This record gives sequence, structure tokens and C-alpha cells, in this order.
Amino acid sequence: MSIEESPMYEVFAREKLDGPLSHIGCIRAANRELAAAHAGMTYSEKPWVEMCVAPTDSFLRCIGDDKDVIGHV
Amino acid sequence: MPQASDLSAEDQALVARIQSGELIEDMADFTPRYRAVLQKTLEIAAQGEVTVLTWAYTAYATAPDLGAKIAISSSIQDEVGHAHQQGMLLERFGVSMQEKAFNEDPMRYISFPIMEFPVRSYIEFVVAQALLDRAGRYTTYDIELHCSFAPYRRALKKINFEEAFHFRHGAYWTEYYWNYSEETRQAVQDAVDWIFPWGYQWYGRPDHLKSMTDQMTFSIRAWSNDTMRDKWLQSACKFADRVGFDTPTQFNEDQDRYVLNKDYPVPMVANTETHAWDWQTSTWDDMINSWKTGGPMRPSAYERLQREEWGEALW
Repeated sequence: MSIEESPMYEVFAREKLDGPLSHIGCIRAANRELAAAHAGMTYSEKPWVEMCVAPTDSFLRCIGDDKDVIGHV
Repeated sequence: MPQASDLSAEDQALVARIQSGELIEDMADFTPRYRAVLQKTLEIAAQGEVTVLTWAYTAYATAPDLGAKIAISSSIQDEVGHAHQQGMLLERFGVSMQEKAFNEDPMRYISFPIMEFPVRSYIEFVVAQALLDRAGRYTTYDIELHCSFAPYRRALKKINFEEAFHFRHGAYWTEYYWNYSEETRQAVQDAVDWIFPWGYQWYGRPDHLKSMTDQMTFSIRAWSNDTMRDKWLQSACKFADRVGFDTPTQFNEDQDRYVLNKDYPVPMVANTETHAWDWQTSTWDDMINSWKTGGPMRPSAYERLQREEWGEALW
């Protein structure tokens, strides 16, 4: 499977313990473990206290029309 | 190039929405022309990020210690991340970043020629960070602040955060080497003499030689070439004054700003054989053409990237 055929994952991170978990980007990876590793390498710009990933297709939009807004940054 | 007056009715409607302060989120709102200028901007920016990492790689052999190697590798990791950010956006346009990086004809890479001259010393690397990452950040910061397409603004937050880190890192070590010894001070000045003109010419043609671009019409960016160039010049010259190195500028009291020396040749074309400036005034057409032919590492740097062959020197 090429990287572009791999599933997309959303990346979230928390900068401070009392701050929000924020969407910071997205990556493609062949599996969950690689997604976590890839996200940690790519989004290393700040000393996050927490980072997690979730498959893009697991999200349900509540507000807004563009189904692609989450994902693709 | 089409002018703003050529706008179709749907383009005019989109421009009116943008001028009223609306940010575009949904690609269904795009007009073909808006889509084309955004895509072109992204393609140039994303491929440009790739060329920085092949350039930075050449600094490895010059790194004086492990800390310097880590700084270079961190910079490369960042640039990969920057290409990733813009590559993920390009996917939405049906453009493959993988294709752009690994299957593009190396002679067609879009780059600044300075990225195709190998780094000759670690001092040259940090001076380039101090001056050229500063230049690049104005380009991307303009888009983060002003781009009418909201996802592009978001994608650039990480990029601009790291670019600021790069030029602060470069500034710290430029000052360190300026004060370390007479030999390193001369090396800093030599590096500045080579790098400064690249920074000044970073933004391309002056405004009076350009037509209104779609980037400005559709608010992809808000700062013109001259605006960005002046922001860079003022910032770089303040930094130079603080550290003490020379630039081909003077502070004009009447204008309350730094200006180029009157005899400074603008623009110039670098000599790819001597790895130096000839200090002769060229034309903007010749300078832009030199961007297309590139520097001495074209095509070898991109061919090596595409073979994923990094070489023994890396380790």
C-alpha cells in the first residue's frame, strides 16, 4: 500500500495540562502504531504534554458542511 | 497574466466575499481561477521545502560538533514536516506530494538557486538561517495572517513557529561566531557577503515591474514583493547592527529606515562556477531565468533524494 492509499489519522495535542486538546494536523499511516509514531515525529514543534491520533473516518461532523475540513490539515 | 479587471462574475463574487472579511473553508466555493492560484502557490511552497532539506544535508560534513549535527538534522526534520503540511493540503487539489518530491524531473524542481549551492561551512549555514529563514518566514507568515483560504492559514502555524526557531538559532550562533575569534568573525562576514544578496533578491521582481497577481487579487497574500523585501531588510539590518557585521546598507535618518547603498548592484546573478557574486548589475529577467536553471547541485541533489541515498557522511 502506498502512503497515499493509507488511512488518514487526525492528530491532537495539548500544550499545557490545563489547556485544550487541539487539532494540530493529520497524517497518513499504514496502521495505528505507525500513525502514532509518524505524528510524534512530524509534529515535534512544541514540548506537548499529550498527543494522540484517531482515524479520520471515525469523526462525525456536528456543525459545518465540508466533510473534508477535518483531515488535510 | 490575467488582470484583476478580467475577473468573471463568479470571481468577482468570490473576491467580494473575501474583501468583506470572509474566510473560505469549503472547496465547493472555489472558482477555477481561485483554485489555480492556490494550487500553484502550494506547489511552489511545498517543493521549496524539499529543496531546503537537500541543501541543509550538505552542511553535515561541516558541523563542528554533535550539537551542530543535531541542529542540522532538526532543521531537516522540520522542513520535511513543512512539506508534509502543504502536501496534505495539496491532496485536496488532487496533487500528490509523493509525486512532486520523488518523481518530479529534477530539472523542473522549483527552487531558489542558493539551495543548490553546497554549504561550505557551518558558519555559512547559521548565517543562512539567520538571514534566509528570516526571509522565508515573511513569505509564509503573510499567508498565515492574510490568506483567504482558512486551511492554508492553519497549515502554516506549525511552519512559521519552526521558521522563527530556525532564524533565532541562526542568529544566536552567528553572534557566537562573530565574537569567538578573529578567524570566525571573518568567516561570518564572508558568509554574510555571500548570503545577504540572496535575501534581498528572495522576493523576486520589484512591484513596479509586476502586474497585479491573482495572489493579491484573491488575498492569498497581502504583502507585495516590495513590502516583504523591506520588512526583511529592516529586520536583517537591525540584527546586523546589533551583532556588528557589515551589510551593503546605511541608515537613512530622513526616512528613519535602512536603505541599500547607492552603488549596490540590484539585481545580481550568482556565478555558479566560482560560487560567488560578480557584483555586476544584471536584469530582473536574467535573475529570474537563473532561478530556472538553478545552481551547481541541480540535478544531483534531487536525484540523490529520489534514490533515497544519503551517503556515508550522514553518519
